Amino acid sequence: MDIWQLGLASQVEHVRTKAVSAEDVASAYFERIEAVDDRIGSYLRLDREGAMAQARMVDEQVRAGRDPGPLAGACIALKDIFVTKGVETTCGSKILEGFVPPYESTVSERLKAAGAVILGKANMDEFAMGSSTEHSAYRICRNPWDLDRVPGGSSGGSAAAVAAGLCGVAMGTDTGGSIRQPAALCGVTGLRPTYGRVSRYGMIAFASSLDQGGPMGRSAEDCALVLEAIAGRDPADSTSLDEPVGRYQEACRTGFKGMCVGIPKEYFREGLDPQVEAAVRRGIETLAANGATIKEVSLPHTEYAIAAYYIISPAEASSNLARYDGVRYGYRARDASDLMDMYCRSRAEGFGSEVKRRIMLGTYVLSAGYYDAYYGRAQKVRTLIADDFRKAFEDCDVMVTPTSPVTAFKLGSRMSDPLQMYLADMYTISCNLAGLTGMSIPCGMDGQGLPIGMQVLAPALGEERLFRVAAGYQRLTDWHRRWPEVAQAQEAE
Amino acid sequence: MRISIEEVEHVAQLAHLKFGQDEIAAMARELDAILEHVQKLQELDVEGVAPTTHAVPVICPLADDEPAASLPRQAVVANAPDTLDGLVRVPKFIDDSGAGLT
Repeated sequence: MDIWQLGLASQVEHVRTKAVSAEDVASAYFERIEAVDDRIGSYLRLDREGAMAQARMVDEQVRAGRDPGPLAGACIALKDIFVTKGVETTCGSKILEGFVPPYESTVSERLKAAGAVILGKANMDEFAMGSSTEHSAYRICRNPWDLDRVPGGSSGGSAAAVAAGLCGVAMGTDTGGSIRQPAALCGVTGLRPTYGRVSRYGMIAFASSLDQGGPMGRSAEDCALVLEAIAGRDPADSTSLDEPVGRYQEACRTGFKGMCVGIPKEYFREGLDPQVEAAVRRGIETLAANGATIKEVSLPHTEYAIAAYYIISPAEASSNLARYDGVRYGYRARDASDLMDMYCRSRAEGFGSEVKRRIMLGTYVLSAGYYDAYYGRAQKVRTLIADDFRKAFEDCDVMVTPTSPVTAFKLGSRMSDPLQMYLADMYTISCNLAGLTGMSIPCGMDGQGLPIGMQVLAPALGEERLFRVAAGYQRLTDWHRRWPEVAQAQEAE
Repeated sequence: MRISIEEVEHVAQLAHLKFGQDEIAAMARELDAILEHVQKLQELDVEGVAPTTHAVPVICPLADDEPAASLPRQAVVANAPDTLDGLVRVPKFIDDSGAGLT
């Protein structure tokens, strides 16, 4: 078995015990990226120099007998939404082309402090707006399981990189499902932590009351290892939670015996692909057969989640994206007649169509005369959705649902209908609105060999519950260990 | 239609965006479809429901008022598309009489 096929936890163990050098692990990944990523498009840019320097530093520490950190030599793909000092950061947008941040995000800072090696910046939908990565301003990203299909989004590059073995773990962000949905479509494990569990400092803002970064890996265990290193209070993010970081790796070993799993009936209705439903139901049976109690629960306001989300998130985005005006950084239109002309043309030329659509929608719902009818009402509906979960979690420890109603769809098939694209998030959005934590784990394949994801939800700061269920399930199944053909190709050569 | 061409043009102005005539019409159609969908929220009775403004109920802590170094000016201005003597330069917005241009 090659080093890249081992899980992250095992790679770190190899580096820490000198069985293999961090430099060799990073080189192995760069070799694979060169051989495979032309066909996938998971990275927007690589930082070979920075990565190799960091890997050498880790190796020196190991040689000197010092502790190289809990993520020693862990090779990471960072969604291009995290700013990296001295390394271009675009958030998938032309408007940030050439932007070289003068500071580092807390997430990447903590990863590096723990000994991790950042291989490069992963492809994404522009400003994280999208469910297919087709809104990347730079390159198409393909699903490693079928190159004619999307990897999901917006953290599609991160998910594809993990699925194809082009990094150990990837970092994504999730505002309405952008970690869990691509994790499901690419057959990997993706965790959206509780809002505020991981610092948002240096994570380019989309919808500030919903955004949260988290790990995407080949197993729950790998995600736990990374979350322990990045979670916790950060003075630079006043919304980061001042709560003790959980023992996520230990939770992975605990298992789910005796836990009560709620099944929200509203998540198994029309719009759900029968093959996805069958796979998720088999997953639930596996949990039941191994010591979990299953209980039907109800979330009556489920059908209002998408509508509330597509008011709240564009409203917040329209405000956050006001900063891109061509003045201090990023793209500026040439030969403007005056300042206002420069603002409008820089934004019109720099933003892509989906971003403009959301800025327009957000500006509209916040504009005079419409605020109460749209934004004010959506925030109240958000309360009703959160109350549904509060009540349902009185009767269960976690909930299990499908992550996405369908498996990976064809490139281009939803681009002409924005609303259709938004419906891809129907099972993931409520988690963000209600302030929960959620994870997607692989639980099957459809008839075309495309991965199916199962979502596990827990109340705020219930990450340990998620790890107990996910890691316990992964000890009983092998869906998360499979590789797409494109990953095996190099091996065969 | 829930949103007229004129309204789309007005919102574009508020958002500091510019669209061609074709784009305006397409934007109106797309926004209309989305607004039609979100209309669903009108079905609910939200009388007396408190709005959620923060995902997790916490009291936002205040930082200690201690001076700290900020980023060096040179590093910050380095990303600006146009600079002069360490300042960011923008197109004219006041005419020679001192009146605002836009």
